[in-house]
Amino acid sequence: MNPLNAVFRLSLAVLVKSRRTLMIGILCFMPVLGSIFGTAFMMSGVAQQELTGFSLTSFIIVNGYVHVLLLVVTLFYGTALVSDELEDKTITYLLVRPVSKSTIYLGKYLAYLVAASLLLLPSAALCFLISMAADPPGESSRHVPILLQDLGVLGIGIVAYGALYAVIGAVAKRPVFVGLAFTFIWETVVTFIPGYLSKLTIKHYLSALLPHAVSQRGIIGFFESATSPVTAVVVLVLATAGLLALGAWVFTNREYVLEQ
Amino acid sequence: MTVLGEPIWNNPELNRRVGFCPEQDAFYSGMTGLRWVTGLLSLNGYPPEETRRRALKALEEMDLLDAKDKKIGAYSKGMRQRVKLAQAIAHDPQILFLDEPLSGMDPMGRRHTIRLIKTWAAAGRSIIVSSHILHEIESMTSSILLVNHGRIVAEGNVHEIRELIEDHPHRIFIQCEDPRQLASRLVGWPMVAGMRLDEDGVEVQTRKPDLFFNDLPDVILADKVKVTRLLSPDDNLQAVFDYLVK
Repeated sequence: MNPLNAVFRLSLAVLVKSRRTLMIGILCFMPVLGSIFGTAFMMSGVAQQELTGFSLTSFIIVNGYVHVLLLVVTLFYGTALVSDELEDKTITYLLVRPVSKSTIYLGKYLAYLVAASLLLLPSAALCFLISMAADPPGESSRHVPILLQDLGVLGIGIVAYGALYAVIGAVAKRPVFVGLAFTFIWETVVTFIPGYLSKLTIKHYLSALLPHAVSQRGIIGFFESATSPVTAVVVLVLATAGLLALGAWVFTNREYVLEQ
Repeated sequence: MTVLGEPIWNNPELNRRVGFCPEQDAFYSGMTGLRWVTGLLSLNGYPPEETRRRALKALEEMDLLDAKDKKIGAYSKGMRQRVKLAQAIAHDPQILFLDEPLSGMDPMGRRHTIRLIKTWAAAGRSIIVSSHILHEIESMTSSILLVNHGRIVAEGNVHEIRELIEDHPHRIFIQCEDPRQLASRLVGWPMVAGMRLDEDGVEVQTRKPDLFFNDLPDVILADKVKVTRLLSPDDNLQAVFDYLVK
């Protein structure tokens, strides 16, 4: 078996059975519950007429998924790629096999991509399907391209944030805390600062790819400066490649000492 | 640092010839013994059928075939130790590094594993065992490397090393019916450096144990001393280690 494939399969098997996945799975179910309550509220006739299934979906995808859940899921999965193996002292078993450390790193990253995608994307699609039940028939099929675009943005977010948090996991001793600090100080606060500083965040480029109108993006939408979708994709692809290369290099050259 | 003549740092190809059983009791949660060994062995690049065949063979060798489908979390400490050994030998390595391999095993498991380690060694594998339980090491080999705080304090055959420690005379305990009579005969021997009388025997200290053992039977036969036991309390790895580091 190809070593990358072998690391990927082993890591995916470990991820699927981890408690972390169970917790993240429960977390990903929360917006679905929100959609159910929101849709029931709209269908009850109590809601104002401007509130539609599509506007509810837009709100949940942008504010629930892109601004919160995507960060939380990628943070907890990404930082754990290396640090969990170190904490659990299982990394030894991987490092004494005839597989290069960069292959181990990439194999684990690929496993993370699959696990995070399987938890986030179906849950987002489910929110869309539930919320659109409140709109007149035919509306949901009209908005399917937007759903696909949303899922694409989430997918790119999983790729980019995963690469970033994996580097933090390979470098930092307490990567979750470092990742949390980074997420809430840099990725969140900087977004509110007008000017070019926000262009140094991943969230800026993800927002540039969102198909929803600024009014549907919540308060953050008003602080965003314009970047074309093509530029956003190019920057995110380059950033991901750079971060993966950096993470693989760190993992290859750092001597990890297990705590006794 | 090199192993088998090759550098160890960032040299994954070397790991095809190396097997390692770590000390830590660490596993991927929720996996069965077979899934765990198969998963790790697949990293060696074998086709799936070959991976499974080798994993089963290794588990059989470690007497875990019946428990192969049980989750490792449900294994006893000794079984977990054996499944770690199984992943270390499954790819048939040329050299094995075993860190505290008998930790947590019951007496039967220890005996079984010691026998296996000796069999692997007899089959031509190089085996390096690290252990703090020195009598376990002695039961596997007489070729040792004593390390204290990261420094090598002795290397070679344990009995030869004992011979070289001149500061501490060898202690020989002779259990017999009439210790006083035997002591009175031995006290004048030039090779006897000291003596202690017990109720059931005499403990002799000598710097020339070979000479002492050579002459002792003559006295025993001549005086008709009934000797029931002959011991060398400090001719073992633990005593050698203690003498060298204290």
